[in-house]
Amino acid sequence: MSRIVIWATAAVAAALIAAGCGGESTTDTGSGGGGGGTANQGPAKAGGTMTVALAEDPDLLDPTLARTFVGRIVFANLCEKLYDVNDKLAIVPQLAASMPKITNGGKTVTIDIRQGLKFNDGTTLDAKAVKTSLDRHRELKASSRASELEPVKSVRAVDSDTVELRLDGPYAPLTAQLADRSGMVMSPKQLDKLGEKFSSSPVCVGPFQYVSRKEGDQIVLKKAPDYYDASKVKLDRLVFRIFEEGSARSANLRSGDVNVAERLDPTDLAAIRADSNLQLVDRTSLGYQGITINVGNKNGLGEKYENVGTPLAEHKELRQALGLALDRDAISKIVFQGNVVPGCGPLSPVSPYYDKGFKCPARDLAKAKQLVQQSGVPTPVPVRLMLNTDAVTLRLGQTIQAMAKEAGFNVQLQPTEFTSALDKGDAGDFDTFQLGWSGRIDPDGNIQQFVGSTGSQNDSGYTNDALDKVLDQGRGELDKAKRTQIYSQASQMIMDESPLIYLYHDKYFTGMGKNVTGVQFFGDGLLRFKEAGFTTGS
Amino acid sequence: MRRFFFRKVGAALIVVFLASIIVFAGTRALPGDPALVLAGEDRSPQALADIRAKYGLDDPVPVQYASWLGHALTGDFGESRRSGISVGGTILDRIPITLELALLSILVALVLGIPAGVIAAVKRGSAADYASGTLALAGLSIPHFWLGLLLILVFAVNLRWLPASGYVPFVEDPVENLRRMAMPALVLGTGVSAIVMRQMRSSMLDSLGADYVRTARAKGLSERQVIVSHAMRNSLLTVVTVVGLQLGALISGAVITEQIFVIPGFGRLTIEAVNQRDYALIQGVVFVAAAGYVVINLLVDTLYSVLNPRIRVSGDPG
Repeated sequence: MSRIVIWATAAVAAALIAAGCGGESTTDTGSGGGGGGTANQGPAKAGGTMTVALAEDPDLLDPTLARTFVGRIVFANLCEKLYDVNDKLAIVPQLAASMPKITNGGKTVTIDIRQGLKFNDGTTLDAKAVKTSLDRHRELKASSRASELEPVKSVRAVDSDTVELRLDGPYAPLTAQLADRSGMVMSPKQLDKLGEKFSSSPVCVGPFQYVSRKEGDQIVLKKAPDYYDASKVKLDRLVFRIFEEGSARSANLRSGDVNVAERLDPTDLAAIRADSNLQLVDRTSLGYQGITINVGNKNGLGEKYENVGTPLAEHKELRQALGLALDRDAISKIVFQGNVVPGCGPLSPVSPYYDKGFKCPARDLAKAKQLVQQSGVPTPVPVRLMLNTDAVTLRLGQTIQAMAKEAGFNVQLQPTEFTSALDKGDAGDFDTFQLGWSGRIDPDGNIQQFVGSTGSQNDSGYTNDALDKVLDQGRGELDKAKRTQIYSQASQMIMDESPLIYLYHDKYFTGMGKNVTGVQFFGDGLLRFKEAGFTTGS
Repeated sequence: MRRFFFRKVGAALIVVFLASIIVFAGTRALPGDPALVLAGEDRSPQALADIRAKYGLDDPVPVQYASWLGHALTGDFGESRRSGISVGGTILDRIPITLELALLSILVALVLGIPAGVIAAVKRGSAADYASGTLALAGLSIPHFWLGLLLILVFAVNLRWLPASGYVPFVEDPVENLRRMAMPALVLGTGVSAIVMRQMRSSMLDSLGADYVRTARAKGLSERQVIVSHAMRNSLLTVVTVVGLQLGALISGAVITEQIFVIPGFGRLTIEAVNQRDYALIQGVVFVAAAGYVVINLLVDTLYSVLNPRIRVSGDPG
C-alpha cells in the first residue's frame, strides 16, 4: 500500500510539471487583439447569484465617509445618486427628475426629486431626505464629502420634491459631485437608527440591498423589492469577493469560481482572451499616471512652499527635457503590451472635456539634449524616482531610466511600499514620484488639487498664479465648450512647466464569463449590475 | 503541583502583558501613516487631520495604549477602521478556518510522510528509498506559492475539478468544505510531510537495529508484524513530537497559502491588517496570536509536568 502512495505522489508531481508547461503554452496563444470587446448584451434570465472579484477590500459602506475607488463599485449597485453618468460619461438624472436649474448668477441650484421612490427599507424618498443626506455629507465629523460640497452654503427642502442649494458663486463641478458619492441619498430612518455606524447596515435607493459583509472577504447584496425599477433587476444576489492578487482574480475567473473580475493585470490578459469561455471588456480610465516632480515641497504638504534646490526643481528646462526624452508610445508597448493609452495631459481622451486639438509632442531626443545643455547643469543629471514595488511599475521605472539616460539623466529607482511612499510624497521626501489618479468626471477634479497653488494634494509644491487664474475661471464657467478650451489651455501650461509629467491613461480590463450579460461598464471604471444576469440557456 | 501551576499562570500573564506592549509599540513603529491609507485618494491635509482626530491618532501613544488595553481586557478589540466591523468578531470567525487548515495539513503530512518514511527505511538503499528521499527534498524546497499556483492552474483552471479559492464552513456543506480545503492542505502539508518522512526513516532505522526488534524477530513474528507492531509504533513517538513542533510553522505557513487560495483565515487577515495599517485590527490579531502561543506553551508545560514529575520538582524548589 505504501508503495502505491509513493508512486502516486511521483505521478502527481509529474502530472503537475507537465500540466504547468501546458498552461504556459495556452497563455502564449492569446490573440493579443487590442481589446474593445463588447459585453454580451443578449437577454438575461431571471434569478441567479453573480460573484464579482474585486481588487481591494472596500472601506466603510457609508457614502459620507467612504473614500476608496473600489467602494464606489459596490455603491454603484447599492446607493443611487441624484445624478449618474451614461455610457458617454455625460451626466444624467438618476434620483433627480431633471438636470439642475442654475439661477441667480450661479448662486442658486434647484433640483427636482423624482416622486414615488422608496428606500430599500420601504420608507419614502423626498426632498427632506435629500436635505438630511446632503447636510450629513457637509457637516458630519471627518466627512469625506465636506470638501466636495464646500461651495454649498445651505440646503433647503422647498417642498416635498424640490431641493434648493445656495452657493456663493457659480461652481461648475457641483453637478459632477452630485453624480458621485456626494449625491447619494441615505434612508433617514436608518441614519436615525445607526448614526455613524450606518456602514454596518447601509440602506439607500438601489437595485440591490445590503445583506452581510465579512472583513477582507466578501460583501453580499440581494435584489431590493422596493426598488422603483425592480422589474429590470434580474439577479437574486450579487456577491463581491476580495482578491487582492491580480493572478488570483484571473485564475478564479478562468476556473469559473467568479463570474466577473475587475481590473485584471495586463500580464493576465492574453490567457483570458484565449479562453473561449470568457469575454474581456476594456474602458479607458478618466484618470492618469505620471511623474510628480518635487519643485517646492521642502517643508511638507500644506506648509510654505520653497524651492527644494534639486536640478529638476531649479531648472524648468530639465523637467521639459525629461518629458521630451520619454517615448510614451514605446512605454505603452514595452511595459504594458499596448494595454494603456499614451498621454501627456491631465485629461483622458474619454473625458467629455477633452480637447481633440490637444496634441502630445513626440519624443525629441535632440531637443531634450539641447535643453539639458541650456540648463548648464553638468551631465549626468542625478534624479531619484520613487515608485511602487510591483513588477510592472518597476519595469516602467527601468524603461524611464533607459530613455532618460540617453538625454543625460541618471535616474536612480527607489522602489517604496505604497503607504510609505505616500508618506514621503506628502512630506516632500522625494525628487520625483510615479503616481496616478483614478480620475473624475469633472476636469477640475483631475487638475486643481494636484497642481493648483492651494491644491490639497499638491505634493509637487508647485505654484503658478497664471495657472491658478485659469483653473478658477474653469470652476466658474458653466458653458461646456468654453470649459473644454480653458482646460486645454491649462493642460498646455502644465506641460510647459512640467511640475507633473503625464505618461499614460490606464485601461480598466473586466473579464466576464461568456454567459454573463447586461453588465454596464463605463469609462468611470464602475460596474453596474442593475440589468445584469446570466444568458438564457446557460 | 497547584503552586507550580499558579506560578506558570502568573508568568504567562506577565508575558501576555509584555506582548501587548510590544504589539502596540510595533504597530506604531510601522512606516506609513494609517490616516493616509484611510484617506484613500483624498489626501488633503484637512482630510488627514479629520481622520487623525476621529480615530484618536493624535493622542500620545501611552494614552492610546491605556485606552486600548482597557477595552481589550473586556474582550473588546475595537472596530476595524477600514470597514467598521468588530475586530473581536472577525478574529473569532477566522481562527477555526486556519485551525482546520493546519489540522488537514498535518493529516496530509502524516498520510504522505509516514508510509514513505517506513518504506525508505525498510528498503534502505533501494530505488524506493532514493525516490522518497528525492521527493522529500523537493517537498522541502518547493515554495508554497509556486506549488499553490501550479495546483490552481491544473486542478481549477484546466481540469476544473476543484474550486480555485474560497471557503465554505464545514457545518454548512462538508463536501464543499473539503473540496475547497484539499489543495491548500496539500500545499501546506507537503513541506511538513517531507520532514515527517525523514524523521520516520531515521527513527525506523534506529528501531530496526534495536534489540527489541531482534527479539521480536527471534520470537518468530512475521516481518510485517515486526515492522508495524514494534518498530513503527515506537518510531511514531518521535514523529508526533516533530509534528507538534511544526504546528507553529504551519500557522505561519498558512499566511501564504491562505493568500494564494483566498481563504479568509487568520493569516490572510494579518496581511490585510498590516497592508491597511488598520491599527485596531493588527493589534487584535497579533495580540490574540501571542496569547494563543502563551496558552499552548502553558498547557504543554503543565502536561509535561503531569507526565514527568521530575520537571515539576526541579521547577518547584519549595
